[in-house]
Amino acid sequence: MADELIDVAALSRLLRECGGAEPGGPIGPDDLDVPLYELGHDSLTVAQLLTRIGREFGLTVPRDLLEDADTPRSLLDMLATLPRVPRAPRPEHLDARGRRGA
Amino acid sequence: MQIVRGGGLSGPAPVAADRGAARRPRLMVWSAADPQGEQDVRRSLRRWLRARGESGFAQVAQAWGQAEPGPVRGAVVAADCAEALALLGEPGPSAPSSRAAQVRQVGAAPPPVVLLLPGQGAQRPRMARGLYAWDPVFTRAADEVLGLAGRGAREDWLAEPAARTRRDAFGAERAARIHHSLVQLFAVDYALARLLVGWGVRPAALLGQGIGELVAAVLADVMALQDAVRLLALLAEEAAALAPGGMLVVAAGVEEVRGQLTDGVAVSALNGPAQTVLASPGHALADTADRLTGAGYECLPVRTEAAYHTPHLAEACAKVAERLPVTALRPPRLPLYSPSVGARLPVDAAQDRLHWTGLAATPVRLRDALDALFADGDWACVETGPGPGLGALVRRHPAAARTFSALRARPGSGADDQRAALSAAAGLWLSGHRLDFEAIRSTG
Repeated sequence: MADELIDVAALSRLLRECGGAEPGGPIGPDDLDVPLYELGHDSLTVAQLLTRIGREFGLTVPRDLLEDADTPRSLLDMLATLPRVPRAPRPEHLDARGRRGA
Repeated sequence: MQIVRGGGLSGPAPVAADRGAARRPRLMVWSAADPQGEQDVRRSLRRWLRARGESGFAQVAQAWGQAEPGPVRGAVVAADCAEALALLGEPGPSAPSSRAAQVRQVGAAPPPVVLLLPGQGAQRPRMARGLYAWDPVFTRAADEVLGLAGRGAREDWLAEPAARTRRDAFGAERAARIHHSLVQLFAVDYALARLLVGWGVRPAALLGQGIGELVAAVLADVMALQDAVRLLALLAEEAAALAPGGMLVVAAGVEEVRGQLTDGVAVSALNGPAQTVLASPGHALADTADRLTGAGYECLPVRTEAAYHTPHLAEACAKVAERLPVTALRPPRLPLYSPSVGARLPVDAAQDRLHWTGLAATPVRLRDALDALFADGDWACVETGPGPGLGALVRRHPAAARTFSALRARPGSGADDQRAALSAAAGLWLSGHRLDFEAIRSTG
């Protein structure tokens, strides 16, 4: 997963999943310059998005992005500049789900 | 048009030097009887601009809105001839959709306008500053509010951030800061609403959140402006005497959150199925935030001074009610959708002074108010205050159709503020509303 790129489709999926029962609309290539708040997002759903991206893509995402990224394009541009942080190798006594082996 | 910023993570874009009236954003509108006619009008506009350059741009911007509006309408906001030409090109897949010329077929009856007036948590330094001394109606209205408020509120709003009242001050300075933040937000909501009315917009209803509800009371002629400003001054004094508090916005519905609250934490706003605001005095909120984050809910602190919209403000509000001189309250001249009652405000509640003095201690049931609003019909919603919080919540409501923001969501240059106000006007024009283009042109 850590090598996967965050493209428009991935961003669209993640944006849709943030905001819970009432997600912002899906985005396509035409929406890249539409402000995120016009797509129904606010600082809370963008914070959710950054947490999800950090988890799914193994990135450390500074919260300053909340102030800076105001469109899907600027978000993608800024994410592309972030250093990829390799995940810590899983300790051998834990299984794939992080539970202790028998 | 995409704005390219260097460095990616370098912070807010630098404020561009004001290059004078020639670079001031202008609204250009046109219309025709049918789509073919619209294309012809737009083509002739482009020809005019190409032939006459910058001076032509200024003249076109003054001439094209005069015709009797047809049902196919177009609008563009541009700062100079080159930008206007780029935006007036044929709509194509490569055109960035947010900034290109917009063209829309107008229906028989445009949806009525409801103004959305944001409350606490939305304010930021120098908000809407670019509209001051640009639009005469905005300027007069902001001066009126901040002049009544006194105590340096106007100077603090106009000052550069470094010169503003310190955020960590105590005592008298804390009281001044709370007072400034309340009346500045009130002034911006109020002056933006007045600006739109000055541009020919005729609101059919108002929905204000927190302080915004008090702005709605003044706009609907329930309360005199000076009484509302006096109420805010008293509230600031009483709130400053309380222990400092904080607020936390959580990405969850109220039912999910209720079980996780630590002692002293109360629900402050019910914004929707995926957003609830909590508040408490002191540090109790930190424990709740840890607990909620641990349970997988996203949380963000909200910038406020006190645990607004919770019982912690009840005593302060009671003192405000005692101290506020008797004020005349008239029946609203427009429907008021009230988050503090979670419905359209009944006339007897509008004329009950305890409704208004108690706003700061009453939870904000925004979602219920929005349900009531949209149950009454379709609306063109205009956010007239610092965003994007209220506007974003309205856009997420399943029944919301057209929502425009009259103020930029992020701090920017003065020209950005002007562009946002003009774009909201463009949105209403494209929805079929009439505007007073003479008044819009008198800006600058």
